[in-house]
Amino acid sequence: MPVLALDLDGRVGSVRRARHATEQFFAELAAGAGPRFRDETRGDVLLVIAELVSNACRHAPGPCRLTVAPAADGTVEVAVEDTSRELLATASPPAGYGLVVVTGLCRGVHVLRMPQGKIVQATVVERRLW
Amino acid sequence: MSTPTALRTVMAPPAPATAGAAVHTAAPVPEEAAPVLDAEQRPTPEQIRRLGKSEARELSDALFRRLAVLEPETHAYGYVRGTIIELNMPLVRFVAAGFRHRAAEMDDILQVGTIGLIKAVDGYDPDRGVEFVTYALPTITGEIKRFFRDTSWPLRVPRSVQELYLMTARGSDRLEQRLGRLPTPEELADDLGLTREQVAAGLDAGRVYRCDSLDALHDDGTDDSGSALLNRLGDCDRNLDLVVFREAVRPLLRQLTDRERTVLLLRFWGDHTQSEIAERIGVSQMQVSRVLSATLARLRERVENGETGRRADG
Repeated sequence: MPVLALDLDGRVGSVRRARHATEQFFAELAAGAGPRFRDETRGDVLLVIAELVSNACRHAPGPCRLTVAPAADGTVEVAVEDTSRELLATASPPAGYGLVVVTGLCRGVHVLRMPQGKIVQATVVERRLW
Repeated sequence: MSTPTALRTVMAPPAPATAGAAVHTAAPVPEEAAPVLDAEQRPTPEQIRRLGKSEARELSDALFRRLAVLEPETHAYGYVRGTIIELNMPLVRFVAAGFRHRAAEMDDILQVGTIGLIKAVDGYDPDRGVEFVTYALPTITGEIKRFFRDTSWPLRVPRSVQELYLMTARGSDRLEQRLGRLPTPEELADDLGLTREQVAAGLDAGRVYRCDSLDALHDDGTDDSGSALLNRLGDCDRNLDLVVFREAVRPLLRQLTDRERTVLLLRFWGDHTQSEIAERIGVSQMQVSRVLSATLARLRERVENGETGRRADG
């Protein structure tokens, strides 16, 4: 199964680049060996990506790396690695809606602390279970 | 009383909890002039709650104009977007209230509704000349409907087992986070306070559920947004009227006497019969009937005359 890996500089334009590359990636999958995802699922994945990438750009200095890994069971695992070892915190309102989106649309949100930063990993499910 | 159903919908509270509170509130909170807010300044949640409908809309429009020139990678974007979301949260509660009778946790409905709102905020283009509310209501409704479609079961699974499934699935995710590996059924049972048999039933149900999920792969684009959105826009006007109507009635309700308010609450929120109300407040059923029809007639008249009820405070 193909995986998209994209290095971003963490500056303005990163979110746009991430979304574009992912859309293209989905289009290539659909045109090739698959899998094909519903419009809704693709929309959810793009939204989750936008949240995770913008979070990395806002809170971590320097570049970040996006990985998008679709699975045959209809789930899409999205991961963003950044340079901050600070774990995700629930921001005070009115910020913090990013986490609402990610926890709402994904199953199993994991944060892995790495020597030089962290990886936030979340799995978007084809069908919403809760 | 030719339109009790309409009034009933109009006066339904966003959540049952407020109904009780409203009955016991002795003095209504005076409506002060909302402080002047501009899009540059971040309003507090308290200020947001005190905004009138048109002020909230104006602020929301101003914030959309500001959002359009911000980049998503900035903190400012997060704050402005978050404020727009909070300002428009009443739309989610309004739409969610319509799904109250469905077998689902209100919190879940509110959560998916919020995601619908966030999608609407992201997708809204103020330059198209469509009001945000008009755009957002069908988006929120669509997201909640999708939630119900997605949580419908391919096989007839008893409600209790469905609940066990949700409990075990959620519990499993939580434990996995804590342990760093998948929990065993025993650990799951301990953690959730369930028997091993219950956990087994929950996990089995999950397998039933997933057989539908495979079907989903073959089903492409039947629910495309194009025509569906058009279909949904038709619904929206009726809902908007309700919002307006409800907002119009709300201040008028505060001007009623305690007894009038209590009778209305019991009849339309509590769903009690006139006789039950009569017994409860110690008057005859005829008196209840008179109070009801007089109060409703007066409310209707005031709404039709466009009275807002606000001038009584100033």
